[in-house]
Amino acid sequence: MGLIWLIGKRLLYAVALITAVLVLNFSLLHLAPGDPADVIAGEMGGATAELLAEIRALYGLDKPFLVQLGLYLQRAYQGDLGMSFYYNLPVVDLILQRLPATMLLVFTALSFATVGGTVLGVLAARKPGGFTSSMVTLLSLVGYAAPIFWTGLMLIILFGVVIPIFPISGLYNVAKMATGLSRAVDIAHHLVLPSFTLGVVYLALYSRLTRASMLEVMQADYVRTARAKGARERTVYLRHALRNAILPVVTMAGLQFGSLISGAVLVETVFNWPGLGTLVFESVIARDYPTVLGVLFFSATLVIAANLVTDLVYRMIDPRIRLQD
Amino acid sequence: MSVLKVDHLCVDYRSRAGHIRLVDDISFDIQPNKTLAIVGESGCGKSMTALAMMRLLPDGATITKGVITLEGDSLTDLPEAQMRDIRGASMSMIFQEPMTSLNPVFSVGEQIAEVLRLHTDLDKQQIREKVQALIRSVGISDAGQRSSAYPHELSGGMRQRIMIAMALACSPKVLIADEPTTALDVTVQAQIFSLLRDLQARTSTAIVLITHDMGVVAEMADDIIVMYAGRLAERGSVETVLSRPAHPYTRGLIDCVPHLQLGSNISHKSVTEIPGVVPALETIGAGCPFASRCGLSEERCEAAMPELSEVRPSHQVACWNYQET
Repeated sequence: MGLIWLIGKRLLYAVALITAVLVLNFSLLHLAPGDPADVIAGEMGGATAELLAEIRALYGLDKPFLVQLGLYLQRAYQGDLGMSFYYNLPVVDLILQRLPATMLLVFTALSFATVGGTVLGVLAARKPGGFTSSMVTLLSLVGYAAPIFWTGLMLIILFGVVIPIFPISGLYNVAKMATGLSRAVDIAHHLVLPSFTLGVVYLALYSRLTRASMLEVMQADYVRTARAKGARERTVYLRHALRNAILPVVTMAGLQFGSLISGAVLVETVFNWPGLGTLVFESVIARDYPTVLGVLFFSATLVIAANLVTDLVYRMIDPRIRLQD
Repeated sequence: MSVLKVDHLCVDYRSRAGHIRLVDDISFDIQPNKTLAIVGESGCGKSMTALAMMRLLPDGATITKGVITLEGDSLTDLPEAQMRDIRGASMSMIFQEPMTSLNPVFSVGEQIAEVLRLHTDLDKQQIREKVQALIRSVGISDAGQRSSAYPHELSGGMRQRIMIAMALACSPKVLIADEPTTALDVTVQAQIFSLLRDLQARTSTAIVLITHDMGVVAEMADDIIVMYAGRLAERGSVETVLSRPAHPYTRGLIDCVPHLQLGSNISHKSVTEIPGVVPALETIGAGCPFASRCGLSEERCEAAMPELSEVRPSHQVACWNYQET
């Protein structure tokens, strides 16, 4: 009952938020220098003034700004994000084609970062100042300090050139024409470097967060209670402490979902991963405004959805949240 | 036949700065169905004595001398795995802060059930029934509903009752209660103590009650040991020690209890304080640690620590100048 109410309320906010995002993005892109008609004409190999006017009329670029915005919003609510100037395809189709690859990358990186970060953090908290702890701290410092594109390039050099064990480009091997399970294995193989690159910064962050959180929670009175019950140290650690210590990690992971998507743009470009990131990159270069707007719309939606999921997960883990709203 | 015997217990704390003796040569024993009070101000080593009995001393603190025996078996050299079987089963403990001693992310029923799972072979259904019986036995009505409540949904008094239910789940031989009512309202305090007395009458559990409140001692305990700066100051039956205290520190503690008298306005005389504070343990020299705060101190008090001497049968005091009253 309360849960349905919460989700309903959130969906209502989401619609308002997405409208705001659309208006803002549309306005910003409109303010940006450059005329899409020029670009389209350029693709066609040059054009006369008449042809330019024709192109503008075709795409509605000759109408006043507010009319264009109104039309765009109206269509967007009907699930039509317009036609791509560059790919000459409906933007929605274009995005849906690319979305799975990005989702695969983002969720693999996210799982890698949260699970790996938690495990490393827990190990590091076992003996603060010990060897494992120092190694994790060092690793997370390096991981956090290294920019994504640099990590990506270094990994390409290491695993693509020096020890060529991982593919460094694309989603799968076109030449293999693999199907079924071997295709899945092929994709997983291609996924290793990009998802590691994207996830490593967050892995570093979550391992530090988990470590700090575990160290704090291990001092809690209820941890002493668990020991006084006669629970094994492992039970105390993983059942009583971790469940409490993981809360800040969940919060962070939810909040950072957006930056994970923007990180994906870089990673996809570096690894030539055919997802939304490469799409938005190519579209910006080509001044393909409908596509850029479409991708921004989708990523905003994803971020909002991720926040809702975070809230639900949080309520599952922490009973104290359930009382509110 | 005593159920628990503590013999010349010493607990040391080792740090880089050096070596501090937290508990110095404490001995006592306790019979079934009896309550022993350990009394002293904060920092006197009461809680350390209790944690030493559970072998749950914080990092850095260790038992360096002495033996603790439970029903004739030594606990001090027991392997950790066997000690775990004793904690929560033959010997259990309740703590000062019921607000923080329960794990916030598990229901209270689940937390009680955990003890039963650790120490008994009961199946799921039996555990559920036993949990509800335990919740009822600590005076909480509506056990079925309460067992699925989370700690934050219960009052402080309720939480302490849950802690007591948890501690008594496996009918321990010894229950250690470390200032169980300090964090609670006075009326709730009285309820908790009457609950403990009732449960003791039913189970003949020996209770070690740690407190600084002589009023509580008079109400609850059969025997008392008074600790000061980690050492034994006085020991005897509650009747003797409270009516004829021999150690100036014990007298000071008794005078700290305010007496409520109707009609007479409460004058400053009715409550006296012990001047000064417990000395930092690393500053204690060869003499009596109470000397600096004691009205009767003389040269030999500063020079050497008095031995425990018999005032009368089963009443001992460590004071050069004790006065027979």
